Amino acid sequence: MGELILCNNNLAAMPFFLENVSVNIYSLEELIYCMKKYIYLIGTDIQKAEFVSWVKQELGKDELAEKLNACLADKRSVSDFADLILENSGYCVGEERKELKRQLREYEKKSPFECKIIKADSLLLHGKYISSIEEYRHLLHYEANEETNGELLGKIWHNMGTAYARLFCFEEASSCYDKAFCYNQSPVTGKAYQLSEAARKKEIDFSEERKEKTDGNNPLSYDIVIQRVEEWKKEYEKYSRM
Amino acid sequence: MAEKNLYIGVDLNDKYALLSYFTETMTEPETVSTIAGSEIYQIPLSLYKKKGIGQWYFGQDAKNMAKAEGGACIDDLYRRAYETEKIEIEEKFYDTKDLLAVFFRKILMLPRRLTGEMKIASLGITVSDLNAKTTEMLREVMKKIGIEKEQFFMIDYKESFYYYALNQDKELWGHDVALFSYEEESLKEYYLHRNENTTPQMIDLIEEDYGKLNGDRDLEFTSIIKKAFMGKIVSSIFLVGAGFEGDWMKQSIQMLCRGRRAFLGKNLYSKGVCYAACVKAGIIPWEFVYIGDNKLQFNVSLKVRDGEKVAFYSLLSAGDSCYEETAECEVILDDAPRIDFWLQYPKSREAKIESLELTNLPKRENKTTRLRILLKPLSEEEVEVQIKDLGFGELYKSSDQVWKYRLRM
Repeated sequence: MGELILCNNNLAAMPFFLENVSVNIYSLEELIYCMKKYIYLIGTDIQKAEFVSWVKQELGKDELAEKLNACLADKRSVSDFADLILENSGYCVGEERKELKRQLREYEKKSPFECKIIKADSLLLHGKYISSIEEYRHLLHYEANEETNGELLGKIWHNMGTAYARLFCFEEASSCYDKAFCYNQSPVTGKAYQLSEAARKKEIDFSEERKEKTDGNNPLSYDIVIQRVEEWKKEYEKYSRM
Repeated sequence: MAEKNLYIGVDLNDKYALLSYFTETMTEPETVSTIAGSEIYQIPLSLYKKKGIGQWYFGQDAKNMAKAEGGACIDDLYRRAYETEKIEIEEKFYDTKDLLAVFFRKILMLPRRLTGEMKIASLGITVSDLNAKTTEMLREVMKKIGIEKEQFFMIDYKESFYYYALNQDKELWGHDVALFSYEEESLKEYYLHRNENTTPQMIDLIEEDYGKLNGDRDLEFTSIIKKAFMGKIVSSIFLVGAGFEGDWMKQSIQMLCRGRRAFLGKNLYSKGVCYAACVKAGIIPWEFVYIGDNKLQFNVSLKVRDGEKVAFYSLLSAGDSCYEETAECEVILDDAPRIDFWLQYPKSREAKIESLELTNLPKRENKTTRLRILLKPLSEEEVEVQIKDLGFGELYKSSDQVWKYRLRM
């Protein structure tokens, strides 16, 4: 049923930049929207003094800023920090707010390594491919750590491959899938490797997709390319995230 | 040491200004007298610029200095500013609004000479009839002297009487209260009645114009009083205006004072608007509401989600000035591209819902459309609404669309 949510704060003249998701926000409502959408990516961006200062100076919410500062000083969790923001707005209430808090609490129980994996996967899921590749690379430095095992390493290499493939970097994608298969012997990884190899060898031609204009002299081949691209995309959707 | 607050009320008519003031250490407002110890409260609306230098005299001093120097005193400042006259003084043309601003700057210093340096917390001006042009003109004058919009308000004489009467001792308004104003050609009556069954108590103020008193004024006034108060219980009566001067009231005084208290005064309106300044600032508790002329007759609200609860958010209230008040808020649409405004008369239990469709609003994810809603009364029965699409920051760009509507009961 149609409803109106009252905005209790003015729009900020100067935005706050959420680094992990590359978004400028001008209000608490926009922040909460990003929190819901990029739940595992926002925490480190906001749980800091600069954000609290922005809440005070740009939004004029002195009382909230005081509570957030106290939360920082007491070194309380991200879920507690986030909940202070949620209670200050009608944007996310009731069951939705409880669920968000629950997911954050679950996330906090995980080890730092698990959190990094979740973060990398979230970046991949939301199309931040380059950032996800950087995160996967950091994770691979944990190779010697007892938390890592063959299955996990296989997953990391596989997903990194997917990120490269989404950037049309098929040589790197193939290499990643190849390494992943060494660890996990997964048929899914094998299939993804085959597809990326085919793309690398230009057995699937993406040059038409990359061009802005169609080739008027060869409409049939363009149609076939588009169809193969669509099929390929569906294959990647199916196999790409583990 | 913290700056103390000063509350000022100014009665402005064609010929004079009267100024009353109040601080929190006083029991009631006092009116500035141009001659210490006297009850000469009227300050002529006059200015005079001393020849050759930038020094201005105001009020009676202006008239005296003009006479002494053989110069021309500028009188009727209020009327002339209303008519946007330009006046030449020593080969320079002055906008009369600027001159009225100079006059105000001078008179606003008067209470501060008595109370010490204080901040003007609230300034009210009362005039006999308020209209859009008067409001606009005085607002401009106040801006010239650095009085902020939030510090300043305007009411008419009827409303000043309402604030004055109900700030007197309770025995004087236990029942109805009446005011007779007799100036030049016209005898007017304001009759105040309280409805004790509502909370806050609704006040009715009925105006009656009896025109000029001809022949035997005393007899005629007696007859008017008898008819006006037939079947009514009146606790007190106030008489204002130069027309009551002299001792022509013989029978009429007896009629007035039959079972009631009667008062004759010159500074009722300036004290009334000073009381209004205190009530509006919240330093005098107030359990009454009066919806006068030039006031919006109905409440306008929105049903919104505010935090965890759903509530009615009041945008405009019955009694808000048609000329001064505007309302603004921002909301986020959840679901339908439609805004429902709730309109209600204060005495009624029923509300009218005006649904405004936002046609051609771009399709977006739910809860990603922020709207700015602006309301402005156009008259006592009509409100203009403007709704602007603000998008949702960088996530969804604003379409810059603006929808305009008019709300009526």
